[in-house]
Amino acid sequence: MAQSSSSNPIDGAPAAHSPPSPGPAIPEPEPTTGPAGPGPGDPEETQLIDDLRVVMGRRDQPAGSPWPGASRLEGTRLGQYLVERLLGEGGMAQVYRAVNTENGRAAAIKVLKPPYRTDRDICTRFEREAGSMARIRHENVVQILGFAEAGGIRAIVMELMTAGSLRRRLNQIKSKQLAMPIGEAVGLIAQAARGIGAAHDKGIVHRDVKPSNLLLQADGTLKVADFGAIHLVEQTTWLTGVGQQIGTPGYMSPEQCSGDRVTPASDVYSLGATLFELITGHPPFEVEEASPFAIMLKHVSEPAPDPRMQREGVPDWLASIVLKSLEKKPARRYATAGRFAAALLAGPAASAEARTAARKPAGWTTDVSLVRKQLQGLPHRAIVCWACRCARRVQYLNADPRVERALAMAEATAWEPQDAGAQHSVSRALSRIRALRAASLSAAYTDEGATASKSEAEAARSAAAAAACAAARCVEDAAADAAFAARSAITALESASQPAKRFWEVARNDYHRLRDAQLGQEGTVGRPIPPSFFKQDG
Amino acid sequence: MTRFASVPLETTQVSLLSAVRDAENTRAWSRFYCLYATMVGHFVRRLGLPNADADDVTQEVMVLVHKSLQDGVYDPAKGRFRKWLYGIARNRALAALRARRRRTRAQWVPREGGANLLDQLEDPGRDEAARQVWQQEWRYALLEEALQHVQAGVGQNAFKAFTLYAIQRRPVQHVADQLGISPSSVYVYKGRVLAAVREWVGRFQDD
Repeated sequence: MAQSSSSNPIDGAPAAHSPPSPGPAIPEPEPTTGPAGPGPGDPEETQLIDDLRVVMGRRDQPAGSPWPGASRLEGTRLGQYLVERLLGEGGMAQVYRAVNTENGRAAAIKVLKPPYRTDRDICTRFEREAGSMARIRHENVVQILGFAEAGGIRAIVMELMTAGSLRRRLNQIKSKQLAMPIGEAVGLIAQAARGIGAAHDKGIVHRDVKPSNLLLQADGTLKVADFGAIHLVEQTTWLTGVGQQIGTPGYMSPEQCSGDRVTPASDVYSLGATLFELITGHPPFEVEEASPFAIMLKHVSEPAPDPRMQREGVPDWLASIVLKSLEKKPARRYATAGRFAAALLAGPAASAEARTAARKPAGWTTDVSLVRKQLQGLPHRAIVCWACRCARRVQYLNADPRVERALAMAEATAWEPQDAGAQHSVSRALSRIRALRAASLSAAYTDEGATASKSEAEAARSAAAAAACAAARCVEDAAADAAFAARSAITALESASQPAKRFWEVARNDYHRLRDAQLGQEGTVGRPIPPSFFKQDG
Repeated sequence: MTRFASVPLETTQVSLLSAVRDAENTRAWSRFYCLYATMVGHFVRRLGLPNADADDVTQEVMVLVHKSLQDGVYDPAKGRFRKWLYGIARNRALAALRARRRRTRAQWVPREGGANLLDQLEDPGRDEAARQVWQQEWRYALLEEALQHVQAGVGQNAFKAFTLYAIQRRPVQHVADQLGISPSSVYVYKGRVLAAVREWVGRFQDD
C-alpha cells in the first residue's frame, strides 16, 4: 500500500496506475506521521487523503448493487428496480417482486441463481428465451417489460401477476375437497390456449405447459409464463448430468417423454392434461409411488383415461376434446393451441369433429414387436443410438456420472464401428459400475464373440444393450422404469444374432431378479410387464 | 453515478432512518442500502469471510435490518443505530466464520488477520479490533457519500484534478498539462475538494 514513502508526488508516480485494490480484507495500517501528501504536511490531511484513496479504489465495485454471488437479492437494486421479496424459485431461476423506482409500479423480475449467473452459455439462452417471449404480445401471455442489470446480475422484468398460479388455485380447491366448476375450467384453459396459440403463430413452442406456469390475476385473467424454461433445463442437464430439475412430468407429451421432436401439438397435449386435472382433480396419469419415469412411460404407451369415468356431469363434447388433445400421435391432436382454444370456445358444436378421432382399444399401444419391426430397417448405428437414448432417458431421471460416461462411450462407438477397442472400453467402463458388473462382464464376453466373428453390428448392439441395461440397473427403485429400459435392451438384442443373445439371457434374468426383489419388498410398483415382452424365439 | 441524485442531501442519518421505517419510501431504503450494505460487506470481509460467504452474510444482515426497521424491533431510544447494526453484523459474521471453520476443519486458512479477529470476536469483551474495523468502515462509508456529494458540487475539472494529483499522485505539472490549467489551480482544486469533504463529513460525524 502506498502509505508513507511515496508522499512526494513525483516519486509516487508509479503508484498512479495501481490505485489501492477494492480488496476489502486489507486492514488499513495506522497512518504514519510526518509530511505526507502533496501540500502541507498535515497529518489529518494525510489521513483523509489516504482514506479517500481507499474509498475511491473500492469504487469499481458499485455500491447498492448486489454482489454477484449473493443467493438472495432482497433490498438490492437492479437498474431502476428495487428488489422487494422472493415470489418463488425453480431449479435455475428465482422470481422476485420488485418496484420500479421511477414510476412506483410493481413488477416481477426473474434472475438466474448464483451458479448459473457466470455461465455465459446459460445467460445467453436465458436472454434469448426472454427475447422470444417479448415477441409475443397477447393478453394471455405474461408481458416482458424489459431487462435490468447490476453487479453482473441480469434480470428479466415481467408484469406482476397478483393472484398466484393455477397450481395454487387447484391446491386450494383440493384442500376444500371441491371440484372446479366445468365452465370455469374450460374458460381458464381456453385463455391459456389462446395465449399459447399466439406463441405458436410466431413459431414458438412453450414446452412446459403446466398449472404452475399458468398465472392468474385477481380479475380471473389467466396469462402464460415461463416460455422455454424447460428447454433451458433440458439442454443444461445433459451437460451437467444433473437430472433433478425436470420437475413433474405429469403434463409432458409422449414425444417429449421419448425425446422426439417437440411441436405445437406437444403444447396441446400438455394443455389437455392440465384441463384433465382441472376437471377431474388429478392429472391423467398417476402412479402411487410417483416415479417420474413411470409416469412418462404411461404418457408414451397407455391410453388416456376418459374424464367422464372420473367425474359425473362432464359433457360428451368436452370429454372428446380432452381425449383428442391427449392422443398419442401429435397428428391426431389439434395442430395448434389456437385450434384447441377454438374447439373449447365452440363448445358442443366442436364435438362432432373431435369424435371422428377413433379410439383405440385399451391396452399397451407400444408393442415390442412394433419397435422391433421399426428397428429392423435401420443400420445398427441407429439402433445403438436409439438404445442409448432409451438408456439416457432413464439416466436423465436418475443421473449417475459413471453411467453417463459409459453412455457417452457407447454413443461414440456407434459412430466408429471400425474400432473394436472402443467397444471393449465401453464394456470396461460399464464393468466399473459395481451394480452392473455381472451384466457388463457378459457384455464384454459377447463383445469378444462378436469381434471374433468380425461382426461389428453385433458388437455395437451388445454395447447398446449394455448401455440400456446399465440404465435399467441404475433405477432399481422403480420396477416399471427398469422394465422399460430392459425392454429397450431386449429389443435391441432381439434383432441381433446368436452371440448377443447370450447377453439378452443375462439381461432378462437380471431383470426378473430385480423385479422379484421389488415385488417381495414393496408390492407392485407400476403396472406389471406383460409376459409377451419376454417371449424368446428359438 | 445517479445513486444519490434523487435523494435530498440534507437528509441526516437520523431522518434517513425514520424514512426507511416507512415501507413505502423505497428511495430512502435504496439510499440506506447503498450506504450500509456496502459498509457491512467490507466489514465482514475484513473479519476474514471469503467473498461468497460475505455476500450471503451481508444480504442476511440487510434482510434482517429491513425487517427489524419495518417491525419496529430496533428502538432508537435504546442506543445508536450503528451500534445495533454492528452487533448484528458481528454476530452473523461470527456464525458464518464458525460454520466455515467447521466445514474446512484443518485446512482453515484465515485471511489476513482473520484468525485473530475470530478469536477476539468470540470473546465479547475483547472485540476491540473488530470495533475499530467497524469504525473505520463507517468513516469510509461517510467519505464515499461525501465524495458523491462533492463530485457533483465542485465540477468535473476540479474533481479530476484532485483525483489525479492527490489520489493518484501524478506530478502537478503533468496534471496541469493534461487538464489545460495552471499548476496553482491544481493546488487550489485539491484544497477545495478536501475542504468540501471535511465540511460534509463534519456534518454527520456526531449524528
